[in-house]
Amino acid sequence: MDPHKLKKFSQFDTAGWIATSSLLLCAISGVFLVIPYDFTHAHASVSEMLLYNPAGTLVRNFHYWSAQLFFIFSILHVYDHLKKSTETNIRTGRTWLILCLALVFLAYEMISGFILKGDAAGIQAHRILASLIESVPVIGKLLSSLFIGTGDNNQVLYIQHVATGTILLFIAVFDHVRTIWPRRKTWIILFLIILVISLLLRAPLGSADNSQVKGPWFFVGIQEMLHLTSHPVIIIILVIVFLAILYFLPLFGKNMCILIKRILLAVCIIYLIMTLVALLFRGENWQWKSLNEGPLSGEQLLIFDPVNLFHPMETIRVAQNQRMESCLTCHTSMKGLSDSHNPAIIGCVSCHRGDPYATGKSLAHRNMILIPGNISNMRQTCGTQGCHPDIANRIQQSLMTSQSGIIAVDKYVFGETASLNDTFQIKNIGHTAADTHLRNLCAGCHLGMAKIKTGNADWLERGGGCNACHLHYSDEATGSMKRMQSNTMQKAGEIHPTIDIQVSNDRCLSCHSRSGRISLSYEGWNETNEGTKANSIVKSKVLPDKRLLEFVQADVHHQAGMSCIDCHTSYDLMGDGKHPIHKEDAVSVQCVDCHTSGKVNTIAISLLPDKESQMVGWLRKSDPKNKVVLSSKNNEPLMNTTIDSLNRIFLTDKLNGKIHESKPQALVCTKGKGHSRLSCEACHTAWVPQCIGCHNSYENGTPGFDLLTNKTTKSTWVEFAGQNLAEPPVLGVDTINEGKVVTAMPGMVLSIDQESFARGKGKSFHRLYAPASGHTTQRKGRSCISCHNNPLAIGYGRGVLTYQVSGKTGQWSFKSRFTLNANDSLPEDAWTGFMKEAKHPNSTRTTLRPFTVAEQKRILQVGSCLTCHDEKSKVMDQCLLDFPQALARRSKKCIRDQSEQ
Amino acid sequence: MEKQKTITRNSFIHIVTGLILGLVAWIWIKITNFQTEQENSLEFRHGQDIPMGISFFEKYYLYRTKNSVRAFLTKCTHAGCRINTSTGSLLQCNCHGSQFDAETGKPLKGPAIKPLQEIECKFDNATSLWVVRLKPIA
Repeated sequence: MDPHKLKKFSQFDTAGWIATSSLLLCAISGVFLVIPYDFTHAHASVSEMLLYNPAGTLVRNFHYWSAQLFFIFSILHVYDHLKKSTETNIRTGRTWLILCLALVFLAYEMISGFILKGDAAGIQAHRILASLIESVPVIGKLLSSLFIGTGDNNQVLYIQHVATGTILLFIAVFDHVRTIWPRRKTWIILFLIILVISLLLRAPLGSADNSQVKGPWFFVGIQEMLHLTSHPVIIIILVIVFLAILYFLPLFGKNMCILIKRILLAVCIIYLIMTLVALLFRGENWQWKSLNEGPLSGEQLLIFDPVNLFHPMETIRVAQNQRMESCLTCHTSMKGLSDSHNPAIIGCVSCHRGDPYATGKSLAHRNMILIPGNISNMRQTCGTQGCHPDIANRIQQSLMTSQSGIIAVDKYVFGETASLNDTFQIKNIGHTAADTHLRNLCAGCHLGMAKIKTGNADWLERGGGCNACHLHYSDEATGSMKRMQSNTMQKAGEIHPTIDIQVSNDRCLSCHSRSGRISLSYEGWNETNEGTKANSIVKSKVLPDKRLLEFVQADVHHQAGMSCIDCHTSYDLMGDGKHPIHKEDAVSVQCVDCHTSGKVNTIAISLLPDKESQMVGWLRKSDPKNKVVLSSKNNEPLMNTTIDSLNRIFLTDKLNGKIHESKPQALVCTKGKGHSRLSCEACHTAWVPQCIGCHNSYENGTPGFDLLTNKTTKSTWVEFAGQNLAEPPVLGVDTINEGKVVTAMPGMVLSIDQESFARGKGKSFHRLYAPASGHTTQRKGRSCISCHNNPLAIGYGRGVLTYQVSGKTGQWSFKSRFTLNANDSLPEDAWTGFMKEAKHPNSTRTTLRPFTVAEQKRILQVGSCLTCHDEKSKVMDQCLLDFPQALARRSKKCIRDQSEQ
Repeated sequence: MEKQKTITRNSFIHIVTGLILGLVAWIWIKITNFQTEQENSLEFRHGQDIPMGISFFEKYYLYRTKNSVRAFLTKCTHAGCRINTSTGSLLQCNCHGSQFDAETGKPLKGPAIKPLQEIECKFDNATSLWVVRLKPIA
C-alpha cells in the first residue's frame, strides 16, 4: 500500500471533527445505556451489566471509550487552534465565551460520568466536586445544589449529565461550526475504532466500598494538587484564572499572546507530570507507593476483557453474592467459612483479589492472590482499611514477626552488638557470623515466612502471616482443595477452609517446640538428647521431625483442658503496637490476673475501649453486660473470663466451652514477709527443660539451609548440644520488678568457634541464663528444701550441698557433679559459683541476675534450719512469718552457722 | 415642564426578563434551603449499647468514652470526602491523606487544618436514647 495514502487515511479528519463524532456516538450510546443503568443503585446496576449482560457491557464500554476520545480530541483541538493562533477567527465574543465555558462542561460531563458508576472512588469524587463548587464565594452552595444536588443522591447529577451538559456541549459545537454533523466517513471510521476497543477493553469499575480511592485519570492531577493544599478554593481560583486568561486571549497583542500561550503550555505540562506521579506513585490513603506495589483496585485504565455477545443466556448463573462478583458464578455455594468471612457478604475479592467483573476463568483469576494473609500481601488482603488495618500495623512489631529478642541475644553472644536490648527485624538481617547462625538455625520461625502451599501446614512449614493461626482445613475442605487442583471441582457445595479465632495448640507447637520448648512442656513432654532411643518404661513419642520426647508432667492448666489461647490474648500474640524487646515484654497475662486474693480489675464488655476486643466479644457471643478481667500488667481484657456477683472469677475454655472457677491464691502465698518477693512461678513451676551447654562451629563444605530464604547453602553453622534434662528451674532475681525471685534456665551457655567462620575472630564462651516461662505449672508449690537446700535452685548446678556440723556450728559446702569449665572455672551446669558473686554478663537480660553472696547466705541460713526442722513444723511456720524474729528466738540447742560467728 | 419618562419596548423586555430570572433564582434558593434544612432537622436515635470508641453511621460517627458520647460529621473538612475508616482512635481520610483524632475531631495530619464538625448529640431522658441531629454545634 502506498505509504502516502496510508498516512492520509490515518489522518482522516481534524481533531475537532473527531471530537464531535465521538460526542455524537457517546450521546447515542448513552441513550442505550439508560436501559440497564439505574442511578438509584448505580454500582449494583453497572456490576450486574458487567456480569450478566454482555450487550449492556458493550454499550457501556462504547459510551466510556467514546467519551475518552471526545475528551482527548477536544483538548487536541484546543491545542491545535491555539498553536496556529486561529482563535481570532471566532466570529463573535459570545461564541468565544461559549467555547470557553464548554471546557467547563466538558470537564463536568467527564467527572459526572465517573461519579455515576457508583463505586467508592465515584462516591468520594461526588463529595469532592460538591465541596469544591460549594467553596465558590456567594453562589457556591446554589451552584452545587443545581449541578450536583444535595446529599449523596445521584438524581440531579444524572439529569444534568444526560441532559443539560450534553445539550450545552452540542450548542457549543453548533455555535462555532454551524452544524453538529461530521462527515459520514469520519464517524463511520470512528464508530469502528471505538467498537473494536469496546469489544476488547472494559470500562473500569472499582468496588463499592473500597477504601483505596483514586479519581479519573484526567483529574488525579487535581487530586494531587488538593493533597498539597489545605485550601481547596485555590483550585477553583486557578480554574477561573485559567478560563479568564483563555477568554481574554484574543484581546492581547501578538507577542503577549505567544508569551501567555507558552505559560499555559508550561502549566499543562506541569499538570501532566503531576497526573503521572499521582497515577503511578500514589497508593492507599494517598501515601507514596512503589511501582512494584501494583495498581489500586478499579484504577486500571486498560483492562483486557473481551465481550462475548454470543454467550448463551442459559449458561449465565446469577451469583449468590451480595457483592456482585463473578467468582461465585463458578464457585457456586462455597461453604465452610465462618459468619465473619461469609463470601455472600464480603465476597471473594476482599481476600483473594483478582478481577470480580471478568467472567472467564483466566481473566477472573488475573492478579489473584491464591493464599491471602501472608505478611507480604497483608496490605492488599486481611489488612486493608476496611478489614483489619490495625492488626496489619501491629503485627509488624510483634516478636512473632520480628524475632527481635532472639536476634538481639544471638548478636550479643557473637559480639556484634553491645546491648541485649537492641531491636531487630528478622527479614532485615544480613550475613554476618550471627546472622548466618540465625539463618541456619533459627530464622524459619516467624510470621513473615510465606505460606506457599494450600492445605494444612506441614510440621516444618512455619509462618504464613495470618494463616499461621487462623486458617484451618477440615477434611472436607482438604477434599475440595484437591478436587480444585485436579480440575474436578463440583458445581456446588465445595468447602472453603475456615478462617476463625479458634486457634488450637498445634498451631503454636511447630515453632514453640524449639528454644524454650513451652509448647512441649505445657503438654508434659521433654525433648531427649539426640540419638536417645525410646524405652518402654517412660512414656514417649516421636515428633514428625524425628525428635524423641519423654513424658514428664503436664501443666495443671493443660490437665484441666485449657489451650494456649485461653491465657494468651490477641494483643499478646499479634502485638500491641509497641516494640517489645523480649518475650516477657510481649506477654500481658499474669498468674495473679485470675488467681488473686485482692480486688479484681474488671470492665463490662459493653465498655471495652478497643474495637478488637469488641469484635472478639461479638464473635464469641459474649453478653455485653458481662464483666471481664483486665490484666494487671497493661489493662488488656481477658475476654474468656467472667465475674459473678460474689467477685469470683470464671474462665471459659475458648475451644471447648468448659468453664473453670479460678481459685484465689492459697494462704501460704501471702503469709508473712518471708516469701513476699517470690513470683508465683518460683514455687509453682514443676520443671523446665535444661541443657548442659553446647558448642557451635561453622562447617565449611557441609551443606546447610538458609531458613530465611528457603535455599540450600554450601556451608553451615552446626550446633553440638549437651545433655537435655527436665528438672525444677533455677531461681534468680528480676532486678526491676521489685527484685522478685523468678525462674531461670540455661539460655546461652555455649562456646562458639567464630574462627571457623572468619579468620581472626577467635573462640568465645558465654554462660548466660534466661528467664524461664516454664508452662509446667503445678497446683502444689515447691517444698522448702527443694529451694533452700537445693544447689540447682540456688544456681550452683547439680551436686551435693552438705551442711557439716561441728559442735555448735555448721557450715555449708558444695561438691559439683560436673567438671569445672576451663573458661570460667565454674561447673558446666552452674549459673553462679558457690558463695561467689557472679561475673557479668550472666544473663540474656540486663534485668536478670543470679543470687548474690548475701542472698545465698540468707537462703542457706533457712536451709540450715530445715536440716533439723520439718518444713511443716511450727518453727518453720514462724520463720515464714518473720525470720529475724524466729532467729532471735533460737534455743541454745540450735546450731549456728559458721558465718554468724 | 417636567419631561415624561417613557419605557421602550426593549427595556420593558429587559426588565421582565430580569424579573423572571430573579424569580427563578429566588425559587432556586428556596428549594436549596428547604432541602438543607430538612436534612439538618433529621433525628437519629441510638440505644445505650453504643460501643466504646468509634461507631460509624454514614454521615456522622459517634465517639463514646466512659463519661460521654459525642457526634461528629464524617465529612472531611479539607475537600468533603467521607471518612469511614479508623485505626484505634485515628481517623483516616483516604482521598488526600488527612488524619483526625476521633475523640476531639482535631486534625492530626494535613492537608486538613480544620477540626471535624461536631453535631448535636443529646441523651433523651424520656426515651433513654441518644438523639443525634446533623445540626452543627457552634
